Amino acid sequence: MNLSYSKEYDDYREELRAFLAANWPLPDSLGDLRERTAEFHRRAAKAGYIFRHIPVKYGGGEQQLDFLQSEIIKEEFRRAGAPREPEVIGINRVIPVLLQWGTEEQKDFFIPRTMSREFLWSQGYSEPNAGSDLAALRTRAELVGDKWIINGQKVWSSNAYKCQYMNALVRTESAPRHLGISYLLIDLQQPGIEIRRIKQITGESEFCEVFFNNAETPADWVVGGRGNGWAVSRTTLRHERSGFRSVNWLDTILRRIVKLARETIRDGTPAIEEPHLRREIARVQARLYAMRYSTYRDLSMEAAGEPSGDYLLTQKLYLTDTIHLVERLTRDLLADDYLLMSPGEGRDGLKGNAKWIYNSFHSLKIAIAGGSSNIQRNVVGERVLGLPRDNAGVGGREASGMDQ
Amino acid sequence: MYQEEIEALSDSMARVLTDECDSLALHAYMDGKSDLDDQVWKRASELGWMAAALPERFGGMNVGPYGLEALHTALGRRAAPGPFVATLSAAQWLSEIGPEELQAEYLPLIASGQLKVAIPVAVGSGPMLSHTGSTLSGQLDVLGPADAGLIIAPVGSGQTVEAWGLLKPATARVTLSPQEIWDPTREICTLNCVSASMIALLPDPDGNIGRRLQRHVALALAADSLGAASNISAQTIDYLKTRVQFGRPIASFQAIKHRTVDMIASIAMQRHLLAQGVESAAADSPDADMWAALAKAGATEAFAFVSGDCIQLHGGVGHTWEFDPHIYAKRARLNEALAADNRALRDFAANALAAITRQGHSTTELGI
Repeated sequence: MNLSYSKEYDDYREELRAFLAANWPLPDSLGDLRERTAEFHRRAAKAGYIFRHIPVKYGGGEQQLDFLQSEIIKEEFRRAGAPREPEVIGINRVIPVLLQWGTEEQKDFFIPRTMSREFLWSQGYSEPNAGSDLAALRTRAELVGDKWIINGQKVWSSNAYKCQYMNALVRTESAPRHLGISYLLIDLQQPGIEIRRIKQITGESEFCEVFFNNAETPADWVVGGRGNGWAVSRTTLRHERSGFRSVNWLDTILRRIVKLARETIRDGTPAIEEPHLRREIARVQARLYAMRYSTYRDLSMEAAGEPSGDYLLTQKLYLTDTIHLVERLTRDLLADDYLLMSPGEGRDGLKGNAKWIYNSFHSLKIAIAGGSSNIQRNVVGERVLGLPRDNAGVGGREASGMDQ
Repeated sequence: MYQEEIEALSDSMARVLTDECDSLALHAYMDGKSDLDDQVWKRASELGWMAAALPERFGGMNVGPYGLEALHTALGRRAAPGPFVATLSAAQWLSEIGPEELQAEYLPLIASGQLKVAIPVAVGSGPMLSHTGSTLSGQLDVLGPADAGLIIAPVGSGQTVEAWGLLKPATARVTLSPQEIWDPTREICTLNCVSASMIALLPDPDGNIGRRLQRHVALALAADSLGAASNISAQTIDYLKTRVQFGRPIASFQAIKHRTVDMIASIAMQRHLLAQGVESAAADSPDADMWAALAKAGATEAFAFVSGDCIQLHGGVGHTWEFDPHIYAKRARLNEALAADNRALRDFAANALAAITRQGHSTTELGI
């Protein structure tokens, strides 16, 4: 494993730095922050630094897949404080699906507007009785003339109340389970659709229930053909994945914990001097380093064209356990102050310790969202260890629960 | 000793609370649509629950710590709102250490539900009031409602508690300001005293009085936690039996089954520890504080583990406001933090154990 960058990549980094120095921040004369960000994103895409997986003809950067370039871009954008490529469902999930499976009309209409975030997307996968077992979904669409008529219910659709479109899995064929499912694009703003927000532990309501009562969508808004929705929904992100995203996030949290431990005075001494607390902080730190260097190794192997093994499959389990350790540590650290917090309406109104409490309750979701840890263990057991298959394992569906 | 009375009391509490403090009632209260806390308080007073532990001369049944264990277990099961932990722990404490005239004045008021009490959030450590002449000054957080009629607070200088002050929030010199907290089933206020006159000052030169208060709060929190943990785990297990994925109830998956058993096992072990704590407190044996400390640390941690796992086992709906697990998870985290830090309680128990063994006793002779 070689953990340093070659000359080629050092040069790439220099060019990127020059680009960032010239283009961010942009002068106020170019409009408000939103407008300046949009302009910056256009320039960065043109230069091939963002939307790298999207062809130029749709306004993308159109670059070869290169994990090291991708990491350098993330590092330098962060260093310059420049706005990153937005991480939203439309850009991360819908565009890759359309690029692989969409018709020319679908691509021309949806991709540019999704990139500019004129179109926001909410994912419609899970249903009340189809969570981990997604193939059990029952929302049905029937082709009548030139329209699909949709009836049923979706749940855990993030931010549906403020999105215009949904990428949904619905049952269109009489075939059993995953064979009868199609991938439909649906306009959420129509009379046949009712959206209810779900109040969560933290008092927020980002998740929604979406009810379809004879809702309609054009016949040609099916992606990848009838009955092919299962395969379409499992489109691999050719997108360079954000290998360090969780690591950097955890790094930020750990720094804050250390700061909090220094500032918290207990019985006259800073909490960070307590042996118990120091051990727990070191435990999280060790996990963070393990994740960081595993990610480096993984990237190094990808770059060398070697198979990266089981790291990506186990990373989420490890991250989930680590987040629970962090949550525990936070509780220890805040002690009595832990209680005196206003739940408020989400994270924005919270200050100081209240943010910690918010994060603590919020973290309870991590082992469920994006595929429950139990299902993930089945996937690892069957794919990596070759254990006998269970009908709740790989043969079923590895993710769901909450569609984020 | 009072086995039959306690069982009868226990059954009646469970019956009444199951009817009047069910999940629907609790959610209505959480959403600000009912005064369930007042209703439960009123019923508890009418039915004599508030008095049960107290000696007969104050209208009680004299069932002491056994009765309190039954009551807090029943209230915890339903995550019942109200200032029970603070008021009843204070009453028991006063009945054991209080001067006659204070007992005669305040215990009948508590027994009849007319008086709510506030006690420090941290008993035995944390901020305290300072004493100047015949008045008290300072600020600290208390567990109890803004309409508490009696406040018990530590008094001292520096790190040492020297006495316990009893105050009435009758004038502008003693105020209780409610704090918003994550667990809406209990109340915490900030007590502010500015040269406040007091009802009484109980000197506590060797810390015995403070430890006794901590003992009763610790046992109350342990009982509350175990009642709550057994109910939310039972509810979750029922859900797992009915939730079908992949064509079968998810409870039939071994990974799920094992987790439910881990929950039940952690509760069962803590029950025995609490039983030991209650028995020692009722006998007022020298190791009573140690058992209470261990019971609180173990039971509140078990409750936090169980209620957190119940959220996970419910899947997505476990993270919603309209299902029950979050109510319990929030109550668990408050219980963990109340009275004293669990690590400090275990340090205390370790020191007690060391002291006993130094005297030449074996670890199996603790009760003597």
